[in-house]
Order: sequence, then structure tokens, then C-alpha cells
Amino acid sequence: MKKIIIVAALAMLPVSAFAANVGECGWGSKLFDKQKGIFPQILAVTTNGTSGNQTFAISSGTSGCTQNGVVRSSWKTAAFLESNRTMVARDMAAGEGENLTTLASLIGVDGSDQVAFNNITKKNFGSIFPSRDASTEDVMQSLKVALASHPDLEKYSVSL
Amino acid sequence: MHLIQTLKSTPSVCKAALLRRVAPLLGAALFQLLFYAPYSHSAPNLLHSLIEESRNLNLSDTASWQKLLHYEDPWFSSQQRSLIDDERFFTSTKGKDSPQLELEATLTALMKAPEVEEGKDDPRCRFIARRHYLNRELASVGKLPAIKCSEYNAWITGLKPTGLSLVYAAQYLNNPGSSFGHTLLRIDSAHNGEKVPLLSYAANYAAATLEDPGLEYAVRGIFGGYNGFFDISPYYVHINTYSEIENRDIWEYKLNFSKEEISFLLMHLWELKGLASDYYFFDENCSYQLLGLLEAARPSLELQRQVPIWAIPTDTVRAISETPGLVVDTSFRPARGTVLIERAAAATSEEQSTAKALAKGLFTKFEEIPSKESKSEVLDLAHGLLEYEESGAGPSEERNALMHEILVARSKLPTISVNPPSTPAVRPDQGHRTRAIAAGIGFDDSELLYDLTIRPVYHELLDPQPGFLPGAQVQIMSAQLRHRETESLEINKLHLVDVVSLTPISPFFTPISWRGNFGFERKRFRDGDRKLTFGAEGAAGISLAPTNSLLLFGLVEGHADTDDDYRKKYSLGVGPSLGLILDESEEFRTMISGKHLSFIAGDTHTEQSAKIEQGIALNTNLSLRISFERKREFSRYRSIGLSSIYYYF
Repeated sequence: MKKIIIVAALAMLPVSAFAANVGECGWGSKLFDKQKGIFPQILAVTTNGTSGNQTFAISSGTSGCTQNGVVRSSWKTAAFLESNRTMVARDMAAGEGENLTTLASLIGVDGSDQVAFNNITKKNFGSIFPSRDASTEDVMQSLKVALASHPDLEKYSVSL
Repeated sequence: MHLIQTLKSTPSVCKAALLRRVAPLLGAALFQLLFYAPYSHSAPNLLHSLIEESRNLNLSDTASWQKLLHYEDPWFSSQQRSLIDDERFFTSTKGKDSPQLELEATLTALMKAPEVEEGKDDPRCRFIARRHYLNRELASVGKLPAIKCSEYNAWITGLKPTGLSLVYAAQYLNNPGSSFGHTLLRIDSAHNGEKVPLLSYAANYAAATLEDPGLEYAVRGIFGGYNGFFDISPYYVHINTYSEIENRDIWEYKLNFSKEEISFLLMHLWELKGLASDYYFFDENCSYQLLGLLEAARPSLELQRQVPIWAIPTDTVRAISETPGLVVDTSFRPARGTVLIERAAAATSEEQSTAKALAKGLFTKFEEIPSKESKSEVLDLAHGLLEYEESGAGPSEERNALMHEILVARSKLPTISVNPPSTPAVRPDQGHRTRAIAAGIGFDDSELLYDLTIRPVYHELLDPQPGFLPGAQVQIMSAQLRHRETESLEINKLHLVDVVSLTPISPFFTPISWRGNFGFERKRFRDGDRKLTFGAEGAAGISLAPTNSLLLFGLVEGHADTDDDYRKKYSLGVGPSLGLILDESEEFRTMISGKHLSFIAGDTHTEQSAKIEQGIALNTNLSLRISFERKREFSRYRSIGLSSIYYYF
């Protein structure tokens, strides 16, 4: 069993510092530590372990963007993008996928606008994701611009 | 008495004057009594009545109270003990061992004026499920003081619970050690009125570990050296871990819990927030604790009882799915790796090779593809390959740049429709049960023999396949006892750990097939004596699957054996091991294997074996196994035949 080390900065952040500190939400950087070899693999199965950020287990739960494990509503989109950024990119380039629809849902996109959302984001992929490790902040900003440029989707750009 | 006499003898006009003065005071006193009652002198009476009533009703004996506090009868004593080890879970210092004392202490704590210390929660909010339960059961006597629990309310508002699902993460490719699976509980959340599963939350029980997997990690996990905690995080975080990085297929089982039951479960989960329990890999693990949560919310469920000695996650899922009516729907969520393998298999060989080249950064062949749809497919495959690589090797600048280039190209090509992988016909909880017992009869040269095999876990290659990962075998503490005409019952084989992983190579992947085991085996020495030797084996090689029903494997095997009867007391050998597995039908499977081991160090000798085995699945939990082996140990050849019935329970 592979062990995931979740690098978390449990900073006590005021909600107003949201834009500047989105990278410290908690699930952003995952350092993946693979155990090579048969013996460690066999031994690893004996414990379902997870170290680092026990978001719910910590009883006084203000950790920047979560409280008792639940994401604060103003952080929801940022937290999701921070965690699933590369998967959203993959779906966005392909023009469909669960991560893309989930992002749309967070932004509040109506069912009837889903297709337009998929098409516009796909068309603007290069500017929304200038690189694979573009910051969540930058992605959200570029997404906002892309949505604002289209009459049908302009109304959604305000929630970003 | 005196007051009444005085009142009677006072003239009426004075009584009126007196009343006018006293009435407001009486009114104020009444007001105080009614609205400040919890903290007035009548509280001790209420507490006393509540405790009385709880004793009359034998509340501390009920399944509801016992399951809420996780009391169990350990097998070695009749004294009840709570599974929760953190003392903060109990209001009484003797709470861990006494349901009655804990109940009465809880009532006392819930009645007391809040003397909340810095950093400690008000017990009325801390033990919100207990308060809810006791209020309901003791309603005829009175109500416990109410309070607004704003932190809890904010939490529930954030969770927006509408349903409950059990989630099972199955084993992942080429790691049979993950066969046992993992379970978590998803709190289905209505987000924006639509079902967006990724935005639900999941409750997960895990050990808080600091080390990397190694011997200490294993030992601490097995013997309770770690603390286990419940945690809540968005479902998408778990999907990332299990589906994307670890490439585990996921099964979701929607449960028929009512809104009230879900609400109570969450209240109880709140009570467990931040509390540690000793994590024991075998019996008090993730799955066992989840069953406890479900039983606390619906005490009529008897789930933990179905997994008494050790709780393998698959078995806990089985306990749930076999409870009539509990599971209303199931769904399959294929791992990212599963999606990739199926798409690769459906692509043309041109597309496959172009995708592989693209994943190495070679774009030439790609440019030459005429069809846009085909280009899209190739880009998706290449990106998938790189994701798979990254999940194993970790991120890299170079790969990031290549993946980005691929996605930019992809965004300029049309959307294509992709068929998701089909749902397997048999779920892991529908496969054969994990314990096995076998009785067999056979011969060893001219000697008749009788076999008894006891296998606590888990699955062998010749067991009925449905629900299990093909090519994977895991056995732990499997004992084969043999009775011969010339000997009484003795151990013939004892596998301490036996793991096999035969994963065939494919156009995209070249996994290593391997075997590892150690344990005891009885060998026949030169002088004819049969001795139980201790040994370890490791083998590595490749497998091929030319068709869906045929698997060919070729491995190089290394052996290290030790016994006093060996010359120099040990023997090291190496040699090839080849074979095939053929599925004639769903029920019939043949395995033919041969090996030649040259023991070149210690006691030098040769071992050879040619074996044919037939597995016949009679039904889900019954199978027949017939085998014939021609074996050479030292210089002596012999023939062994065996016919066994396997029963899984």
C-alpha cells in the first residue's frame, strides 16, 4: 500500500486572506512516496496509515479553509481546484469529464449551460492553464476572464 | 402549618393588601422557576428522577446504549469493555468498563451548570448523540437542558447530508497485498440540488502513522502501536488517493439509512471527533470501526458480530450487502488505470504505438495521423500513460511540460465520446468467502494419504475466480495436515505468507510477475525421512495473456531452505519456473506448471517438479481440486496425486 504524505500548512488564516493564501488549503501538494520492492509492499498492507493533516481529528478545527473537515463555503471552488487541478485540466482539454462538471457545479453553472461551459473552457484551455503547474489563483483568474468574455457565461464569472 | 393558620386568622382586607405586595414577588419567583429551572435548586431532583428512570428501564443494558459507547464482550472475559481508548470519550473515570456508571455520569454532566474550562467543549454539545438519545428515552420524566451547539450546527450545514453510502476501494494491480481492500463511509451531500458525488464528504478511520512502510510500521499496525482516528474530508480527496494515484477500482453501496439515522450517525461521529483508539490491523481496523458507526445509528444491525476474530474489509462489505434491504443500489467507479487499460485494448495497434511514442516526446508519427478522432484518442492515451507513470515515479518538470503540450493539442481537437469500462459481473463481496477448509484424499507413490487444509485467508489461483483479481493469490497462515498409512497426522505444509502476482504484459505496460512466500514444507530426504524444513522463496519474471482465458508465465525462482538434516544445515537454489493457466469455462480452470531448481550452495542437490492441477467451481463457496505431480527431491522421483473438496466460509 502506498503512503501519501499530505503536506499541509495548518495556518490560522482569516477568510479575507483567501486570494493570497489559497495554496495553503491543505491538499495542494501531495508528495507521493512509493515503496519499491516486494517486501515493503507486503508489509505496507498491515496498516492503513495516513500521516499529516487529520483535518477532522484535530478538534479545534480552523485550518484556513476547513473547519472540522468541512470546507468553508467561500473556499470551496479554490479547495477543489487546489486538489484536483490536473484532473480538471485533463477533462477541460478533452471537453468532458466528472471533474469538469464538478467545477461547473461549484461555480453554479445551470444544467442548460453545461455544454457551453465545456466548449468555452476547452477553447480557452491554453490561457486558463498556461502550464500544468499553474497556481490555483492564476487558473481561477483566467477562468473568470474566459467566462466573462462570453455573453451566456458572463454571469458565472462573478462567483470566481 | 403555622403560615396557613396565620392566613386564616388575618382579616380579608389585610389579606388583599398582603396579596398585592406578595403577588409580584410570587410572580417573579415563578418566572425564575420556569425559565431558569435548569440551574435552580430543582435540578438535582430532575437528575435523580432521570437516573431512577434509566435504572428502571435498564437503559445501560440496551443495545442502543452499548453500541453508542462501543462496549464489547471480549472473548476472554464476560466483563464489558469499550473499544474506545481515549479517556475523553468517557464522563466517568470507570466509564470504559461500566455502561451503568457511564450512563449516570453522562446524565450528571449533561445536567450540570456549564463550568467549561478553557479549550474544553461543553459536554452538552460534545456528547450530542448521547443527549439526543437520553432525551428520547427519558422523555416521560423530563428534558435535559437545551443548548445551541453552533460549531456542530455549522458542521452539519456544511455537510448537507441526504444519504449514506459505503465505499469499498478494491485491490490494485500487481499488489496482491492490497487484496484486503479498504472501506470508508460517504455522506451523500446535496450540492446545488444535484447529485455531484465528488463534492460529498467521506468519513474514514485510519492510523496516524509517522513512518514509511517497513518492519516497524507493520509490527505497530498489527499490535496496536498506532492511534486510529476518524476523519472527515471531501470525497474528491479520497478519489484522488484511491482511484487516481493508487489505481484502485471503487465500489459504492448506497445504504437505506433514513434521515434520522444519518443525523444520529453524524451526531455520534461528532462525539468521536479527535478521539484516539488503538488501531489493530486485524480486528480493530478501518472496516471494523465503520461497522461500529453504522450499528450505533441503527442498533438492530449485527455487523461486527459477523467478523469476530479479524475484520477483512471485503468481509465487512459482505456483512452489509447480505443484510436484507440494507443496500439499495451499487455502482462501480473504475480506477484511472482501469480506464486506461481498457481504452488501450480497444485502440488499434497503430494508435497504441503512436501513443507510446508520444509519451516519450516523439511527435512525428502523431502528426501523420489523418483522422481527428484518432488523433484525439492517441492524445488521451498518451496523457493517460504519463499519468500512470507519474503515479509511480512522482512528478517531474519534463513530464509536466510534455503533458501540458499534449493537453494543449487535445484542446484544439474535437470532443470524442468514450465508453466507460463495463461494470464487472461479480462484485468483490459476491466472490467466495475468505476462509477455506479442504479435505482431500490421494496417494504418494503407493501410499494412501488423507489431507486436511485450513486456510484463514484469502484466495488461491485455483479458487473460484469471480470477484477476485486475476492472477493474484494471497494466503496467510495456511496449514496443510497430512495423514499417511505409515505416519499419523503431521504438518505437510505451513505457509506463513504466500503471495503470487501474475500480471500479463500488454502493449502499454510491462509489469513484473512475481511470487513470494515463506513457511514450512515437509521434504523427503535422501534417507527416506520426511522432515519439516523452513524456507523462503522469491520469483520474478513475466506473464503473457494471448487470449482472455489463457495466461502463460515464466519466472526465475530462488529458494533458501534450512533444516538440520541438510548437509551444512541449509540449501540455496535457483532455477526456472514455467507454466500456464487455462480457463476452459467460468467453472473449469487448469494450471500446468514445471520447475527445475538447482541447489548450488549448502546441501547441493536438484529438485524438479511437473504438475497439473484442475479447479472445478461447484458453486460460489464450494470447489473441487484435482492435482497430479511428478516430483524429484534429491535423486528420488515420486508421483503425488490429490483430490480435495474446498469449502469457503
